Amino acid sequence: MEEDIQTPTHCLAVEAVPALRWGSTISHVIMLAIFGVLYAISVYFSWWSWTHWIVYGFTGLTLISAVWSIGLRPVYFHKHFRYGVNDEFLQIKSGAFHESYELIPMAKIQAVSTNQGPILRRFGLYSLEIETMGSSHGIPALPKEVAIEVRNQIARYAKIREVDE
Amino acid sequence: MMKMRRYHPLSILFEFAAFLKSYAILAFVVVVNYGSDSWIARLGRILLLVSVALTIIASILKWITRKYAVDELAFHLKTGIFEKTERTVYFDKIQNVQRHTSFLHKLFGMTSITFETGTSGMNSNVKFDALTRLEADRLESLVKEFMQLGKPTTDSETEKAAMTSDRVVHFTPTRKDTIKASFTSFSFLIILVIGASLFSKVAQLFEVVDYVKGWVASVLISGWIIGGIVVGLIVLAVTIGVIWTFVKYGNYEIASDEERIYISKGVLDETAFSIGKKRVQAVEITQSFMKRILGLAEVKLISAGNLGDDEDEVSSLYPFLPVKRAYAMIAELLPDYQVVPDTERLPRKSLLARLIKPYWFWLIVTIPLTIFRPEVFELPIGWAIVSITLLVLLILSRVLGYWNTSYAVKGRFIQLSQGTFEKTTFLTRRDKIIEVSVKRTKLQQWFGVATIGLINRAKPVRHETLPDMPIKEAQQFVKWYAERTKNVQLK
Repeated sequence: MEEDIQTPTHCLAVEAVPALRWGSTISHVIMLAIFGVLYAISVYFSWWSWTHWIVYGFTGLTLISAVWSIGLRPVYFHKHFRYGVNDEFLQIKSGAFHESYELIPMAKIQAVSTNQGPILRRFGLYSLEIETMGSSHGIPALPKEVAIEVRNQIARYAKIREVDE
Repeated sequence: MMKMRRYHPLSILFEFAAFLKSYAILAFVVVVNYGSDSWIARLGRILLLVSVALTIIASILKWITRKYAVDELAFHLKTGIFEKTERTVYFDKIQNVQRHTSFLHKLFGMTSITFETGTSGMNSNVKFDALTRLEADRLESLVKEFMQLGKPTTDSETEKAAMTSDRVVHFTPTRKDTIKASFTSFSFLIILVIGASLFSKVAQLFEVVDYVKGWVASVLISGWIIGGIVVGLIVLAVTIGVIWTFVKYGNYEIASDEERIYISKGVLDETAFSIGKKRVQAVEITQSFMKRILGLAEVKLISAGNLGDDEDEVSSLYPFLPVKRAYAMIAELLPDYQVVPDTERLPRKSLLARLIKPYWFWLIVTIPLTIFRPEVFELPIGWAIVSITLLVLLILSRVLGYWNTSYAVKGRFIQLSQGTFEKTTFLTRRDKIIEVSVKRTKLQQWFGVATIGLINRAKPVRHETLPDMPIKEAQQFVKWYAERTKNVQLK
């Protein structure tokens, strides 16, 4: 996007796509299960018929959202996510429909951490969380070595302290 | 280990006063129902007595256990009756200083002082609820000295002499200013609010309503009396408004020296605020609709530390400054900041992008309207009129918003003006911005515009955005920010 500042070029791990898919599959299955239980309860206790309709409605919405967030979003997300680290700035660019570009000075970073949940563990991935004084940013799926390297890199650069903060 | 000292003994009294304030309603109810024998009244009395006793004991214990000490670097605080806590707060973390002298404080020749740090969480400040003015001056000057020396280790006599630089008073309101202020703030309306709330409270206690109903009916007969009452009420309201404004903003004073800005106000309740010029994170100029008509503006200094409650907020330079004076004052107080008078407007395509953006609120309202088609104003097509009116209003507000939007990115400064009826101008320096972003929805991509965002330290953290800036300008903005290292000193 910018000519003078180097546009971030680093991608997420390829395994990010299946990892994201698994993540949203699990959450959608849980949602569907909840609606199933609700439906069963409403049938069993013969609640009003509009409660059925609400359950149908929400189930339909969940299915539509499943198509999007299991089928399409992981691919798009991986395709458009870029990050870049240099001695002055951390850059994160993401999204196609809602394109977002963030530029964070290293000196304003307060903390970085690597995290790994059960799904990421299965794919040998780590997520990175970067906190500044004002907000927090994430790089969701990186291979282990890369994640640790980037984390240490940021930690090293972020050691620089500015006068008067 | 340095010698720790206790807080002033009168802090027990002030703690108790604060307690009384929060229990005033209960106390009132208990006193009113003193003769009553019902179990609720009895319970109330017992509760009140027990909490009075407990508060007295607790505040005495607190006074015995709480200690503080100050050296040239930091505050050292000891608290806790059972669980002891020791805390050290270094002066270089202090963002601003607030002093509040209530009427009660004045009676005893005391004051209260709060040193705000930029950290988050419960212990973000160092507060002294009651201390002598002398002690407050001593503490404040210690913090001030530290800031001025920069490096705390050098303490030669010459530097101390140089430190007592002159304080320049920039502004005190004249009587005319106060009267103008009382009209813009609509504070005379407050009498109506107070009256209404008082009436409803009194009505609950005694059954006034029936009595008043008869009285009102008899009054309504005569138009003259009504007119007289209305005029009388307005005169009363205006007088009270002027007095109220005078009490609140009467003794306003804005002053500064080399390093700091001092704002003080209030006649009965005095508040004073001081902030290091370097600690000012941003400047905000707000003009309500009324103030825009009268050409007045409010200038606020944004600090990374807390700024007190809304009512006691003192970071604001006099809230009713003429616009020109306000700009001049910013230049006087903060030579590091510049208000750019010739800001740029957004191009036409931004207006188009804004107008074309989906009207979600209108859709949400219109869908049920078209389904149920209720009659409004006894017209069968009333629902359609409501829907169309809403749409027109929304479009108008977008046009107004576009009209009021302007920006300037110049030198080390960025200045964003926005608002529909109220106009807010946000001015900050490149080195004070902690991160920036550029965001584009699909629609914005088609129109070649983008939303820029910047984050500043404040409490709570300040997120500013300017939607629909041309993409070229947005890129320029990022580039501008990337060059921030030019202005930043590294430790």
